[in-house]
Amino acid sequence: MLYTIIPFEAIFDPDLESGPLQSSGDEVEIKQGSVSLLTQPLPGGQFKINRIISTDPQDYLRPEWQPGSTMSFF
Amino acid sequence: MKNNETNSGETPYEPTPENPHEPGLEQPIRQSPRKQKMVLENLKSVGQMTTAAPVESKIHTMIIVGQIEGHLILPPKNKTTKYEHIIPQLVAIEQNPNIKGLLVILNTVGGDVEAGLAIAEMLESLSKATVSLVLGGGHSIGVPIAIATDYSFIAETATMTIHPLRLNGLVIGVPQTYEYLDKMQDRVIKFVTSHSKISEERFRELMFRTGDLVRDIGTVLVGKDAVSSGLIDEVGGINQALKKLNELIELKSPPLGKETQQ
Repeated sequence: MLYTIIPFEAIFDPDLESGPLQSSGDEVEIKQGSVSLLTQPLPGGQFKINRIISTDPQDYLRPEWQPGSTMSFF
Repeated sequence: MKNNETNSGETPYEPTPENPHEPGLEQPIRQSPRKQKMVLENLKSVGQMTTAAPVESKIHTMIIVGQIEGHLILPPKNKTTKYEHIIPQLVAIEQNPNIKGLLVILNTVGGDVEAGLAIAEMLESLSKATVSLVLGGGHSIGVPIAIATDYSFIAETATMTIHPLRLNGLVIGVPQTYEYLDKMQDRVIKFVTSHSKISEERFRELMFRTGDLVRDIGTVLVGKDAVSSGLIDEVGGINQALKKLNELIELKSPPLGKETQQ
């Protein structure tokens, strides 16, 4: 059950599902130690970081984890 | 190495010959000679600065943004804070002896009732010092989360909307549905009134007030109003919130050695 100020029509609007801002239906969560990185897979085996999930504020200052930067495992 | 060590002892006292253009204003930011020496010793033992893990913060922070997502996965367009991310973080914070305090920053439009209440209950029962700061908005189910901490702040321009729960997608027709809705609402009201200074009568009055919101029943509390109603403790920003959190950490931690001061 939702308790929110956003109208339910806005939350579940089918027209908004593939908006231009976030085409993140295929978002991939990558674990780096205790930190989770929400990334978007790019062609070529790379991942673009969208969001950092951590409680340590210092993690947000790490240059390699800045949103928009890419990472790869090869 | 020996050379370095003697240098480190000198630099804070004679910064001018090395750095004559350095403005005087930056002086207080410089590290104490003792701390500098510690960093240097660390450097010596590790051998390299970049590979060493960054010092873990004493204060951790939790950012609750957008919709609080619980039982139902919301369409990707919604910005969400997920229950399954937050709860393990809280467990980890409770278990980590190096973490002394938690700052919860809210900018949420509400979300799943049970996920919100679960986060609120977890925050409430956390043994570490906790402070919340409502920035932008802490609406609907964001209200119990904001007041679940030891002390709560709201930014002057931030708002909190208090309104009744609504049923959506369910067919209202059986009395049981109303009862269920009422019970859910009571859970929220009970939590809020038992963990903040607001009385149940006042909270219900705010929740069912008509004429305040154009298209709905309920109330919008802006900054100071949230404090005067007894919901939030104080109007403030990051500075006040961190100051309070440090105060609470001092109160909660028994005075041990100098290590806790560092």
